[in-house]
Amino acid sequence: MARIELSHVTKRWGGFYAVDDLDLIIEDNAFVTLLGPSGCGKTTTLRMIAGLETPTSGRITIDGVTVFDSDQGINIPANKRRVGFLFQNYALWPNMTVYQNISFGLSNIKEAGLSVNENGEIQRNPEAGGAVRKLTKEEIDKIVARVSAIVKIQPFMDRYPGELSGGQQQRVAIARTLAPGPRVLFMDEPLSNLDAKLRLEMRSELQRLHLSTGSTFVYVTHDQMEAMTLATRICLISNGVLQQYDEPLTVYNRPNNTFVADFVGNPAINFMNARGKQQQDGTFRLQILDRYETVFTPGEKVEIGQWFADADKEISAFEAKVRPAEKTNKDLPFRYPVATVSDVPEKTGLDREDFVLGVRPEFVHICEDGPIEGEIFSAMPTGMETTVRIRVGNYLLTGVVFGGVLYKIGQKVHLRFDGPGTVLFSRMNGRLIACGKLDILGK
Amino acid sequence: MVTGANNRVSGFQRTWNRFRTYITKPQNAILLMLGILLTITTIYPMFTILRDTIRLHPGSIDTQEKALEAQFDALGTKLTTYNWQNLFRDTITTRVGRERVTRSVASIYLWTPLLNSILISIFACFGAILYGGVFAYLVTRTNLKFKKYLSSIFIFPYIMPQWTLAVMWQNLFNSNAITGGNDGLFVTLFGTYMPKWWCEGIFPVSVVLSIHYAPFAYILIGGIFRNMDANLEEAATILNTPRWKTFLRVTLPLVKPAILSTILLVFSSAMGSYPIPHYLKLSTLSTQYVGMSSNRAGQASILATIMMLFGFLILIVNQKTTSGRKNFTTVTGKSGQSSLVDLGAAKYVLSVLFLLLTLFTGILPIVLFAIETFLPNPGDYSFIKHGFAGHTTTKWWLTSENVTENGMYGQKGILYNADIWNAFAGTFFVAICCALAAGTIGTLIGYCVSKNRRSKWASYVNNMAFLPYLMPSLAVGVAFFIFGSGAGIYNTFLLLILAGTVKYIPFASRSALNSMMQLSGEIEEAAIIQDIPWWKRMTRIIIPIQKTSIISGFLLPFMTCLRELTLFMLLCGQGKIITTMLGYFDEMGLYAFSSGINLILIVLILVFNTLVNKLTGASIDSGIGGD
Repeated sequence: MARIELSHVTKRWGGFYAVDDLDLIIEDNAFVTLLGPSGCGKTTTLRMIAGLETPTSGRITIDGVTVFDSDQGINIPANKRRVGFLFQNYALWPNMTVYQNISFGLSNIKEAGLSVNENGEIQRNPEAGGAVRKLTKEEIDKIVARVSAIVKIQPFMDRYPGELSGGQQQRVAIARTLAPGPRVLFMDEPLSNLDAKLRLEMRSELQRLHLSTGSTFVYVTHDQMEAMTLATRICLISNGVLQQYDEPLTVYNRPNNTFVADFVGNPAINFMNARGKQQQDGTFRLQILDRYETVFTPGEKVEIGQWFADADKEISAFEAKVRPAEKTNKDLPFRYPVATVSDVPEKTGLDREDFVLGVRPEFVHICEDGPIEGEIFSAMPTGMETTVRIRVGNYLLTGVVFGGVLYKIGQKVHLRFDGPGTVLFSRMNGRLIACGKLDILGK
Repeated sequence: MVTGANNRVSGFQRTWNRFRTYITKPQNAILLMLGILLTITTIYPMFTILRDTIRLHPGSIDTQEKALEAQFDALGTKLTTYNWQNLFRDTITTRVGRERVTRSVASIYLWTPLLNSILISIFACFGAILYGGVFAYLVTRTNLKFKKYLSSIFIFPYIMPQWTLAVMWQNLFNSNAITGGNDGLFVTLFGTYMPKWWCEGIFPVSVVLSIHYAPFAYILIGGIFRNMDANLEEAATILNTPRWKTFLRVTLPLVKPAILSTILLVFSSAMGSYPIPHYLKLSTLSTQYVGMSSNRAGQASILATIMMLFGFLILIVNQKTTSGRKNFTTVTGKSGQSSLVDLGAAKYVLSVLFLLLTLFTGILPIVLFAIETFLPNPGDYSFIKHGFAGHTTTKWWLTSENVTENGMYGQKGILYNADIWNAFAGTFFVAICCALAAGTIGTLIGYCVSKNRRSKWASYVNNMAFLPYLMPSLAVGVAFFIFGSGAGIYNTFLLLILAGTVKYIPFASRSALNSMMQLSGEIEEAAIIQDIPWWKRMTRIIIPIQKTSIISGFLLPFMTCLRELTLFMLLCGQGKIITTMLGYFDEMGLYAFSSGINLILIVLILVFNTLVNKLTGASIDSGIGGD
């Protein structure tokens, strides 16, 4: 029941743009993660939507109500936005017991048309009329009982936060946030203080929670795994600028640019520099790894001349907008990592025949008849799968092999790239040109 | 308020909306209010001093000259440069023996006291840092003995009223032959006559000020030593650095910020100190101000203006250095086990030395004050040689009727003297009011400033609240004296409370700000999100969590107020509060009474300090000079 809309939201401190001209629509009942490296502006975005931070300019609406508008000077304070917020360090009140922590907010609700149903959910129905009243002790008890049952903390109601473990504190914080029945739930890296095992467990519980509450969830994380597994849509931000806003698998399979491709996926995608031209039939003839001739067949139709014209138009429009003289955090093109054994000097003077190919590790296929020759550089078996790094000339490629295969370091192997999942970027601007299939012709 | 494509509103509407949003945040509203209030209460009285220097005062020397007297009616309300001219141009001729000596007014009333003030301030800084710093190092970094006892007794001189040590110095070293009056303890016991420079003037004032302010240095420098990661020194040791070099190049630079803040604090406090130079007979700006205020009112205000300028100067230096000071904050922090330097045999020597020193500064004053109240004549220690009988008396405590003989001057004994107990009641009233007002305002400032860290207005309010801290007490006192006389509230509790509150807000605002800064903003945001009203957030969450430091924010003004003389002495008649009452008995020569009052005061303060410390964990050392 809550759709959130951000338009042209900017937050800056002096010349530093924490969030730069962000447009975002979060659909009702969505589970959106704001993903990005630390300091990219994702927490700031979340806090601006919640009302804890005031944007420099732009407009935010929640459920059709404008909660912030710099042009009109509207800024509804956080306490009137009726949202829930789960803090990174839980922010439990150390001077109150678990029960008090959860019930404190409830005891302050004072509205007309208030009622609590048998399940212990608050029903708000101001149109129905009725006197403005507070919740009774019994009603509060009922609500606390419900939320504490959801996160299974009933045995700890009389303890103080200091007497709970990190995971239990986390659950109390969730219960406290859920209690007033918020229409939107904001979460700021809620799992980052938990150990790996507990984090996995809580992750699945959050997913269940999203289903059972039916609220809109906005979730900040720097952990791409968390974003991939939880979200219905991922909003990837870098340096205050939105990079991609799509469903997780789209982000994974069709990254908008080299930054997104590199950030999402573990082990990270393999980047290879390539040089060549588009052919008459629409395919690209490219030379990779300094010696292999390949053909890249795009999955969809693309005309490279037209593509560059469009991209240049978008880039110049963006640059005109970001006030380059004022902005102190410059939007430099992302320097994608190409793994090599020894350092290779950076190439200067790029042109339109320079490309970057991205191959996910699971598409690096080791087989007897593979056209590419290499040797095992390192191998890390986990039991379920083995991550190998293969040396091809001066380059290193990462691959994932399922099952407990044992490789010897230095062992000669052959490999090829499988499937239609290879992505082609322009090396000049780092943008995605197309997804497609890569065939090796030979040396 | 429904989403529209382009619903722009008028500029006025937008500004109004923005203002409404700004003001609905309690911290903004409070900050705005307190900012205006503090500007008035801090700046206006200071402004009145300045104005006072360019006005004529009826009945004072300004109007003695006939020509001026004739003009007074016309000039009375007008502004004039007469005071400045008179101070800097005129001369005074006095007879010294057979010769007539002509000296300029400025040299008597301004240059000599100014030089003395600066000298004692500088000496006090050196002395306090040397004494307090060495002690801090020994307590925190070495295996000195009796650390716990020494540490708490070392603070005593600061907790006790300022004049305590000055009076003790007199009691110890004065002699009839050198200084006049009664023979002190030293003469009585050993027959040693200390020279005049030892008994009066710059030397004893500097020593007493040093001892009084050494606790500042101990707390500030010790705080850094205590938090300093021992690894820093160990890293140097592992690199085979000589120990003296480690101390000079690693340890000392780290405590430099603390030394700097000690200097700033001690300098301004020493400059504004009245009782110590008064008892030890040194002409400083503050004693001179008091001496000349009745017949040279306008010129006295010029002295106060100069003291104020020093305060501003220190504030500017403080501002300049705090930015550099922050560079060090990352260094302090979590040190696990800090290894202590082994002093070897010196351990016992130093321990005994400090035991003796603190005995003199911490215990002896109390004992001497106690003894004094049983002496039949002030400073008459003959009971030591001739036994108690006939040479001691309880009349100072127990006389219950008006008797003019016995040297009681019609006063009842301390226990029966209504004037004394009224003055005590007055002091308590003022102290409680000041503590409540300063504590509340200071806590609010600390809270609001921590909520608006980046705002310029917040830092202005913070500085405004901090300014009186760096102003010499006497200058603040003068400002409120002139302000109060003008406003017709001289000699009222209201004026005392007003002055005390303004002067002590920094205690509370510092300790509140420090603790609020450590409180994660999310704790309160978690409550904001749930629409919990502001007062409930304060009373149920913020205050309970930070109760220790908030209590010290109330406690420090209270304790300081109990023993305050310099700030209050210009603002009321002598019977109003206990410290001025004490001064009255001193002037009357009833030293037994003043000693008795001193004794009660010291014991009360110590009892309060221990009590609060035990009950709440808040302590005086967490607050003084803290930044």
